Amino acid sequence: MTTFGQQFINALSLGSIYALVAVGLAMVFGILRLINFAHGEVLMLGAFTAVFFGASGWSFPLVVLMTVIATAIVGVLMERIAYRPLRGAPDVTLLLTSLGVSIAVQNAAILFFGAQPRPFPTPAVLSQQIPLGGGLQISGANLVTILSALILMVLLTIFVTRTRMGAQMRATAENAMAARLMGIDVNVVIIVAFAIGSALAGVAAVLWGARVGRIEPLMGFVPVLKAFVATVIGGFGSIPGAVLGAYVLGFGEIFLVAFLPQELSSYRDAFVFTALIVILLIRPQGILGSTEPEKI
Amino acid sequence: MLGAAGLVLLALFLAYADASFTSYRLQLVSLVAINAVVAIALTVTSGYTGVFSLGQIGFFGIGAYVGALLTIAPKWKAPRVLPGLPEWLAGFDTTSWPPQLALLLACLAAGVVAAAVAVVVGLPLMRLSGHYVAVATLGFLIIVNAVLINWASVTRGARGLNQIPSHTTTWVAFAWVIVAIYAALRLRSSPYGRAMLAQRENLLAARGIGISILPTRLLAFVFGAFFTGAAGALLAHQIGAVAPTLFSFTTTFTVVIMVVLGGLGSVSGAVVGAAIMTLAPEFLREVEGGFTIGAIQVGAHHGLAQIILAVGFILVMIFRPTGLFGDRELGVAFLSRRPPNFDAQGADESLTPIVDAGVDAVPEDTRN
Repeated sequence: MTTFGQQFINALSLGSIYALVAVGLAMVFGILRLINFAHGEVLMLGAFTAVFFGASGWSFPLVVLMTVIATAIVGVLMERIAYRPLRGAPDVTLLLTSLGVSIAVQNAAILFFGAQPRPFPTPAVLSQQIPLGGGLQISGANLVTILSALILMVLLTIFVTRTRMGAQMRATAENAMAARLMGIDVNVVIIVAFAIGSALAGVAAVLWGARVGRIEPLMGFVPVLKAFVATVIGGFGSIPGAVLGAYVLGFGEIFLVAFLPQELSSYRDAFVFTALIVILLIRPQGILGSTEPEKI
Repeated sequence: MLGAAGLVLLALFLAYADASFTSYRLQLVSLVAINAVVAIALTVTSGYTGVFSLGQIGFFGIGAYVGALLTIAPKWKAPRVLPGLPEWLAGFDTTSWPPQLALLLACLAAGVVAAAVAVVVGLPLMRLSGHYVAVATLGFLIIVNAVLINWASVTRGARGLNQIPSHTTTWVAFAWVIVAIYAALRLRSSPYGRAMLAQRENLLAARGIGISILPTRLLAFVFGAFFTGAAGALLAHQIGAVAPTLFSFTTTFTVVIMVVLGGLGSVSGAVVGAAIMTLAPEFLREVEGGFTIGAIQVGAHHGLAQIILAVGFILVMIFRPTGLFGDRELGVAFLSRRPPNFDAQGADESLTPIVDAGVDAVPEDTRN
């Protein structure tokens, strides 16, 4: 039972990180129909920002704040430089361009930071084990991850459903042309979507760094791929769907490893993607997605 | 006529290369050919049909491993090295065969196995469209990678296979390019190829005239898998060793760039794209080694070549989204045609209509 509880906490924490990354993907996809592979590089740059400020002796909350600001700026710049000139281009062109951005940023990071992994300065508070009773304990990092994901998701929901900008965002995702005719500045909406999504990726970067303990220029690929699977599971473009998909994926992954025989657990990624393909075939619109994709 | 002239030129070039190139350069020439075969295969799979596959390199990997396991000498694949290998394969000995016959068998077997996998994978996946098929085929690639890394009793895991005989010559590699070009062009002008293009242009209209979409797409997928698998075997016998890292997502991206750069749907564009993407890093490697612009000294920078290629690719996507050739082929008609902007409009349109005008149709004038 304790093992189960411990794995449950682990899965909740992993799912929370995936959720923070997946929301950014889902927001951008909902509006632009762009699968932004370079989102992982936003996360990677966030992690390097955190290490930079952490090494300069700033306090942890300030480090997180600077990281979030930096990633928001990176995300907005990416949109302005690479994606805006392609507004209205075919989906595949956008997808390929984001792959190009991803490779360019990865290699720029290798150029400037070196390919060697660096240790992530996790504050002592986060590595502490907090007893929960019943033999269970939770690490500070996991607690912070779960709580911050929860708080940010609530804030995001309020933003999307209760504010004027949130309404504009939903309108643009629904029908960009109609939104423009209603006087919504689509460009502003897109910038805000990139800024918020990237800021959340910044938070995820710090949490991922604290979880894994080291960072490197190619670290963005795995989280973005998983987040991507999460958005597919939940339904492309649906924010609640992305969050739900992220937790489904987090639980699936942790429990696969925990309860599969040793020799099969190294096939974890294969299982994850087999599940993805099965979902695409049975319910391609995802758990919460509404739009039926073109299917033959 | 032009084709014959091209063949003669190619033969002269290969003879010259054989006589005067260093072995490193010869290997580079072979790699151009191998990449060209993969790029042509992807042109058929994705360019003809508009179904975007990110899993092509999965078949490349399958082909490379199948081809390698056939020709590796029995002492290197004995049960104590690769315990998972079936007995007949572990004892299968091609060392006494003429090398080219062994290579031909390896390539054909690799192609057939890859094609068989493609039938199984394609039957469900080719029902999907747009993003969904890209994601699902990417999933296939990751599954192949996981199997290559973890199925150590057959693949030696992350260490990969080595001791593969170096049978591939520039001549054989280019022979495969010519076969692939011929097959791809013949396919395109056949009823099957026409059906592929038709359903790419307009799914509903294609259905209306009685084209079955799934078999059409599946044929393109399997065709691409066969040639990619064969090219995998060529690669294995070129470099003498294979490892899972060769068949990663990065390789996929490189091949996709080749095809998109040349023009999605253009066979000759794929060959040109493959040549550019194989040779450019070699030239750029000198850039990485450091150079001077006027008075500015630029030191050695690793990764710079990749950045230049990626940025170049983004610029092509922005300013010439149809690639260098679009849908057209290099040939007499291409050489004698009117200036590009004369009919560029038509070429642009031929690539766009896969997308339904939906949420994505942010109006033109929101640019900037």
